This record gives sequence, structure tokens and C-alpha cells, in this order.
Amino acid sequence: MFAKLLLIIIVMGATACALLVNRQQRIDTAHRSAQLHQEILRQRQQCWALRRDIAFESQPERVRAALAEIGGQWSPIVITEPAPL
Amino acid sequence: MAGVLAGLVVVLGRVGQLKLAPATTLRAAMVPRVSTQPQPARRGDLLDARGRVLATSTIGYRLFVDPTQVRDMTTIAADLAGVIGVDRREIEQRIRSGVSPQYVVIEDLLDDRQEAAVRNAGLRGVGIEPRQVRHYPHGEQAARVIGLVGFDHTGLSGSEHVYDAMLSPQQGRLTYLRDVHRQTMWIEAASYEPAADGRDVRLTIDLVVQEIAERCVLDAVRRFNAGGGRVVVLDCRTGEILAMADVLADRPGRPGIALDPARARSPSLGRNRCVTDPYEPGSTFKPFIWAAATELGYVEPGEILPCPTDRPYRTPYGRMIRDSHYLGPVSWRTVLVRSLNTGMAMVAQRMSHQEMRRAIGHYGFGRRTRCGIPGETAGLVTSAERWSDYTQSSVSFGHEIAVTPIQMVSAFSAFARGGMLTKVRVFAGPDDVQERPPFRFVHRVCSPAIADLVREILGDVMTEGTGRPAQSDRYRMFGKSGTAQLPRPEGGGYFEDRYVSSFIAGAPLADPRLVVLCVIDDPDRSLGHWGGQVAGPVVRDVIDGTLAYLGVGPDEPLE
Repeated sequence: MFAKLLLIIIVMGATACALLVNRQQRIDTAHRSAQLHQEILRQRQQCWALRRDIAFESQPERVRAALAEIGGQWSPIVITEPAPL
Repeated sequence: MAGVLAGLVVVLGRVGQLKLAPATTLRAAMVPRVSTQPQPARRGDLLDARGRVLATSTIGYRLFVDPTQVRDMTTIAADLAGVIGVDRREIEQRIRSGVSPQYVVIEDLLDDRQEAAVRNAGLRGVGIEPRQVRHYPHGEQAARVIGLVGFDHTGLSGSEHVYDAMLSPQQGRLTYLRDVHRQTMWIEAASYEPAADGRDVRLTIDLVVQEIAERCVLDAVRRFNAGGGRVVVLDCRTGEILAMADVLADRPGRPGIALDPARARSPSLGRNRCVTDPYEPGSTFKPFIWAAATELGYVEPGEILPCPTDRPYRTPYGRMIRDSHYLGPVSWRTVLVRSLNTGMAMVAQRMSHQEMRRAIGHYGFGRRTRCGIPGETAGLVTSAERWSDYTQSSVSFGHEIAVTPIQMVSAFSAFARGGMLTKVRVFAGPDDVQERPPFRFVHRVCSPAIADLVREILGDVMTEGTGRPAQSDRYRMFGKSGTAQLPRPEGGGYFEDRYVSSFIAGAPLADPRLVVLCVIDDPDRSLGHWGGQVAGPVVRDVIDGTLAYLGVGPDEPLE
């Protein structure tokens, strides 16, 4: 009788421990998901900042200055086919 | 055995008691800790015709202090001063003078170094919050077309204001269960509302063409010591506005040009004079009346008109009409090539008042083009009740009428499009839509034959008339100069020796691609004032630069 009771207690305890482990894993997963979400947001923000920097560096006068630095004769590409209406 | 059972009962009882009736101190700690975090979304970008970024947003960080969480103001101010490099006393002053008891902004925008330093410092009562920062990478270029956002990141002026609904983002929301260390424990599926970024908007403005136009008009304004200058570049095939440049020069002691105080605060807040400020077009208006009179059959291009040889022409109602040069009897065609006011006035008398007013309205004058730029005005056309014989003559050579630059290029483009008026626009569409808005005609203003004839004659203006100083070596142009006296600002007529010099032209002559208008306000007469001399070279340089950029090959050299 005592052995059966002990077995029940042990089984219940093991079940409770398993449930706690499962709960902790869910919490860890949620936390990791939130971290990833924040990381994605950080990467997007970096992309936005790069987009701004690229726009700044590609100002027409900067491009013109870069071409002048490269030197040589630059002539426009003549497009022979008519532009679509 | 009994003891084990009793122990189990006690444990279960304790669990029940903790769940159902916890102690007061424990109850506070048992409340679920839920936090809500806004999910920042980004305002859409403004792009030029080629997809270059005109305006874009990034996330910046604002530094704030919660005074209720701060034990010692002096200490926190000293700590912050060391972290962000701002004077300690200034920080203290800001904290003490803050309006809200729990939220005092110390620094509106931190740079990356400061933000990292604040996070690492971990100061109690100090927080940083994300905020959107709008950037205009191209500085003042096309500033009044692009516009500006306000403190709350909504459009205040220009395209930022007009397309605000499309550009504005939808903020998201994340609600999560957290532990005492603010680590996320659980997120319900329904607790997450994703953010939606604003849509990118593409304008028809091309930054390279804009830069060409701004450089050329600024150069002319400086060279002729003018009060201001405007340039509009239109792709007459599509009705798309490629550039709008507007320069004002402050010249103390020379009133007459309407200044724009808002530009002192920000170039983007000023009005766009290419759509807001009308001007008297002078002789650049003659092609429209010439086309209308010819279309109505009142005159043939080859008809010889009795223009005076050496004196002003006296109208039947007693007005004296003057030309800059008297050529004697010439053909109706020559009247336009040589820009004779006398010939225009003669033929204008053959038209009824109603016919001339209708023709003017047909070309879009007296109405807004609705191109998509805020603040556009309709110009000034004398009402039917006040329209007199004097008005009829004056309007025939571009006086007693005021037009905006955008109206002029729109109307002039009809001569490049077989007599069809195009719908001009600055909005190309949302960038995420593959198809561009369809090109639209407004209506026909003259027959294709008349349009082609006018264009041909305006080509002669560039070789035989007042357009000679502006003729390009690379492209055959068709155009017209205009020189009108500057009206006095408070009414009462015109200045005797101050002018508005303008020039409008299209190119290439055989297959037009562009229409360009330049208006120079009040050039120094001692340096030059004729439209062909002052504004013509600007139009030529803009056409040369723009057509080359668009890949249009040069015409065969003129013999």
C-alpha cells in the first residue's frame, strides 16, 4: 500500500516536473521570438539609415564631382528608339 | 502513512490558499505584468522620376527623464552630462522647467554614440524612446515641391502634405506578459498588431533635370542682378513636370518683387512661385492669339497687314500701339516671327471679345491646371463685363493678362502635341504599383495643321527673330521671347524701366520632347532686359542639358 502511494507521488511529481519544463520551454520560445522580432526591427532600421546615406551620396552634384575626378570625356548615351507614350 | 497523507493535504491546502486568498504583500506580486510596446512603422519615401530618394525616414531616439523616479536631480544631471556631453546645468534647468511631472525631454534626437552610452549607463529614471526622423538628402533641391513634415511627422507643405494619406504609416502594437526583469514570457496571437509602413510615392520630378534648371536660373538671376527667376521643364509627350525651379533674391531698396518670408524659416515652407505667382507673359502670349485668329479664319498666314513703317499704329478707338522696330507692311506670319504688337492688334480687332476670351480659356488660362502642387492660382483674366477694345488689343500681345508658369508650359505644349492640351502633373503614382497613371489629354485647342504651322513659325523665331540669342547649337528649338513691364505692387500701372523677361521654347523642333519656360523677374536694365537676351539662354542651356541627359541625339547642324 505504501509502495503504491509512493509510486503515485513519484509519478505525479514527475508529471509536474515535465509540465514545468514544458512551460519553461514555451516561455523561452516566446522570449526568443520577441528577441528575433527586435533584431528584425534593428536590421530594418539599419537599412533605412543606409538608404538615407546612399541618397545623400548620390546627389547629382556629387556624382558630377566623382565623374570629374575620374576624368576623361563623358558623353551621354543616345537612345535611338523613341520613348513610349 | 497517515503522516504522509496529512502532509499532502497540508500542501494542497496551502496551494489552494495561495491561489484563492493570498496575503496582501503577495497579492501585489501576483498581478500579471503586461506591457504594451508600440511597433514603429515608417513613413513612406518620396522618390523622383528615376527612383532616387527625395525624402526618407529613419528611427531616432529621444532622451527623457521621469523626475518621479529620480532621487537626486543634481546627480542625475551630472550623470547625463557625462553620458551625452551636454552641460549639466542645462540638463537640470530642463528637468526643473518640464511641464509634465513624469516626462521631461532632455534631448530630442540622440546620435548613435549617445544612444549607446545612455543604454549602457542604465540610469534610473532615464529612458529613451524611438521617434521618426525625416531626412531630405538633397538639401534645398526641389524643396518647395517636396515640402516638409511637422513635429508629429505629418506633411505640412508640398508633396509631403498633398500625399500625406498615402505616405503615413499605421503604427502596430505588441502586448506581452513579462517577468520582473522585463523579459517576455508570453505573447497571445491576438496581442500582436503588425505595423504597416507608409507607401512610397514617386513624383515626376527628375533630380538631374531639377539640378540643371536650378543651376541655370540661379546663374541668370545673379548675372542680371534680378529679383528672382523661375524655370519649368515639361515632358510634353507625357505631361510630366521634370523640374520646377524658383529663386528669389533679396535686393534692399528695390521693391516690386513679392518676397516670401516663409523661406527664411525653411526653404520647404515657401510658396512655389511656378504655380502661385502669375506674371504678365508679354510676347510669349502671341502664339496663342495667332493660332486662334488663324484657326477662326480671320487671317491667312500670307496676308499682308498694313503695319506702320515709322510710327505707332493708331487703333480705331484711339490707342497708340508701339513696336520695338517698325517694319512696314508684312505678312501675318512675319508678325509672329518679328513679334509685332501692331500686327497683333490689327488682327485682334477682327475677333469678337467673346471669341478671344473663349480661345484664352480653351488654352487653360484663367483656370488652375490641378497639377498636384498646393497653392496653385488661376492667374488673372479680365472678366467679360470689363473686357473692352483696349483689353482686346492688350491681350493680343500679352498684356492685361497674368498667367502662371505652369499654365504657360501646359498651353505651349499643345503646339508640340498636334493641338492637344496635355494634363500636366507632378505625381507619378505610388511606387508599389507597376503601372503608371495613364497619360491624359485634356482637349483639343487647335487643329494639327495650325499647331504644326505655329511650331514651324516659332522655329523661324529662333533663326530670324528675337530667339536668335537663345538658339542651341545642338537642337533645333521653337520658341518665343517676352518682355513685359513690371507692374507696380500697389497698383497704379507699371514701372517705366523695370521688366519681366521670359522665354518659352520646345525642342527638338521635328519631334518635340520638352517644353521649357524661364521667367526672370526685374533684371537690371543696364545689364539686359529683353526676354531673348536674359531668359533665352537659360532655356537653351536647360534644353541642351536635359535632352542630352534623356539620351536625345543632337539635330543635324543648321546650314
